[in-house]
Amino acid sequence: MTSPLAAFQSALGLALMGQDTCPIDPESEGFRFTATVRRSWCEGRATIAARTVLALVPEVERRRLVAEYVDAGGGLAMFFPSENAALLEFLAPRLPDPSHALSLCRMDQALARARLGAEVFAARPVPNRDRRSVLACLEHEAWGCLETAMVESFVDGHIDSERHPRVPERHPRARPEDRPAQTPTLPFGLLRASRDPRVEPEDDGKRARPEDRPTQTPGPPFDLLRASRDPRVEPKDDVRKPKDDEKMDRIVRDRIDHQAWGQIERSVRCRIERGPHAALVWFHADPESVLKALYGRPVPPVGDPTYPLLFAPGLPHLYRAATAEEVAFWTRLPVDDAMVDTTIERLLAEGVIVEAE
Amino acid sequence: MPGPLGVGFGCVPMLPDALYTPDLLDFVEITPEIFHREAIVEDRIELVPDRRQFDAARRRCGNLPVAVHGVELSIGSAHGMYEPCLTMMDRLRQEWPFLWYSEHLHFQTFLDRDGKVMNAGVPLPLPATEEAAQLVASRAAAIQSRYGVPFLLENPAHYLADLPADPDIGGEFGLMDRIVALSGCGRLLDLHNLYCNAVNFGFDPKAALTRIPLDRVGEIHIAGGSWSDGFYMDGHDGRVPEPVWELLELTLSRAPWITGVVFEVLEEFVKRLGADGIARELEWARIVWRRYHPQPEDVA
Repeated sequence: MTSPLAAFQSALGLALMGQDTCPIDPESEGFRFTATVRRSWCEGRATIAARTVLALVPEVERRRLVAEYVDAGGGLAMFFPSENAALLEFLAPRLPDPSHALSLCRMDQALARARLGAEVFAARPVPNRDRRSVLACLEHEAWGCLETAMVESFVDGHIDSERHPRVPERHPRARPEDRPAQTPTLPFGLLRASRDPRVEPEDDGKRARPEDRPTQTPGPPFDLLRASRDPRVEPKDDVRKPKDDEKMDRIVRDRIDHQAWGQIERSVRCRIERGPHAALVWFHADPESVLKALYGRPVPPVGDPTYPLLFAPGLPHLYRAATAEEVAFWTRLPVDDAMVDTTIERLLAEGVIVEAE
Repeated sequence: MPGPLGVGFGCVPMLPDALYTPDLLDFVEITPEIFHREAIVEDRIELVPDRRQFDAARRRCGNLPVAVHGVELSIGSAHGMYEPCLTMMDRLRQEWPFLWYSEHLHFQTFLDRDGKVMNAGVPLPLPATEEAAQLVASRAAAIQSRYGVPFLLENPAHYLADLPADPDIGGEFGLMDRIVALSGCGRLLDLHNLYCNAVNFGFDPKAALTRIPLDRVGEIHIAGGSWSDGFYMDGHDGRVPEPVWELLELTLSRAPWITGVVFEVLEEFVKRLGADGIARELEWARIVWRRYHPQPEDVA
């Protein structure tokens, strides 16, 4: 049940919006003036919220846009950023395209987004690109191949099921998720030792590149894995025949080799998309001259869109001019197999682009 | 209250840092909503600080005692206060401790016919009823307890003369008296609001002042206003009018709990008044203040 106070407040609030019977005299000067003040506050909030954009809109058009916005229920946000976002969204489809006002509108939206992102932004290294993580993935793949091979050899009857009624349980160390804090030396060190120097990333941070892949398969990691195999993982009694052993070795070697190369190739190619807090905004004149027009300088003519600005949370001032190469790349996004180069590394560090999950 | 401080001013980003020195100000009054924004956090609205603005405000005002003057709590809304303000204050108390917290005695949100929360777009006065007094008093007491500092309520300026009122409460002064008595909170006496209402409703502000119990006045606001459509508005858009200075003298002589006087001006009118104009208002406020709270050097 509505209390008298709640009923009064709802009726008064709605009456000021012209939606209900007024609980006080609607013809009183005080009520009418309060409605005028309310309207003025709403329009004032809107005007302040988008003053940059509206500064380049002719006076009559500016008033019409603000009035239309307030009529549509705008100007009521309690907090400036919320009002700003709502009004810019309202204005964007209503401003002439192309126009400096629309560029400024998109710039304001981009800045707000970049500012929002900057509060939580931290440049991250490209996942799976550093030497340690690639090696960890290789180790994981190698253990998976070994386990699969052992299960298959058991199922295929390579292991005497009477003497070995079940596949020996994998030692916890064999599962990556159970890996102790100290990395086991087992496949990790061996894979590293076996890796082709042309593929292995150097400590200077340069990564392996698929085109460096040798035509001949590199030294078999499995030989090394086998030599080092943890006795707790290995069946205690070797009941397999030499031929079975060779066959299994070959199968596992091929699998590890295949997986390792796949991992290395994945490590240098990735799916890239636009950063959630980034934007590219085109200006139709030198942006500096457009911004100076806000302070009374002559408004430059609207020309072709030849001035691209990038906005992103990792940029020092949240924006900078975009190069032609960056614009071309931005236009293509998202891409599934971007080859990570210095441009992409820089854009990732700036939050302009992100690697897709 | 922490005892007499002197003259305070709001944290206005566009003004020079030189204004925020102990030479000119004795404390600063921050409105935290200015450097917060709404964000959805775990499916609910929270007010999160805009770090850039928040840190800038702290750098600027960090060497002065701080009081908080909120503007968006809507303490009188029957359906509920704007809770994100309270969680914002919880966080602020940890990050930037304040000496007291004040808010306006009004409502700004209400429920529409579908039960949806609406913003009126302008602060509205409460009817002088026992229900309103009980509602606000219980909230004020809870807030005071929550933050462990004095909580003050500010008398509003408004233009609605025919608000409902219970005979036992009387009017807006009676409503504030009742809330203060029930909750134990203090008063933020806005002398310019009092002056506006006196001009618009035709009563004598000095006579009204003699009826207001000043023993619980912890802070005073002064400001300038302007005329529009036959009403004198609390515009915070200019210098303090002479009658308000006179009201200040009258109040300071009878307010034993007073901690400070704050000159209010809206940011959009700062340019019109100018840093020098603001400094002059602050200097005059300090002269008046020291008549009633003399410093050792004044006595000498």
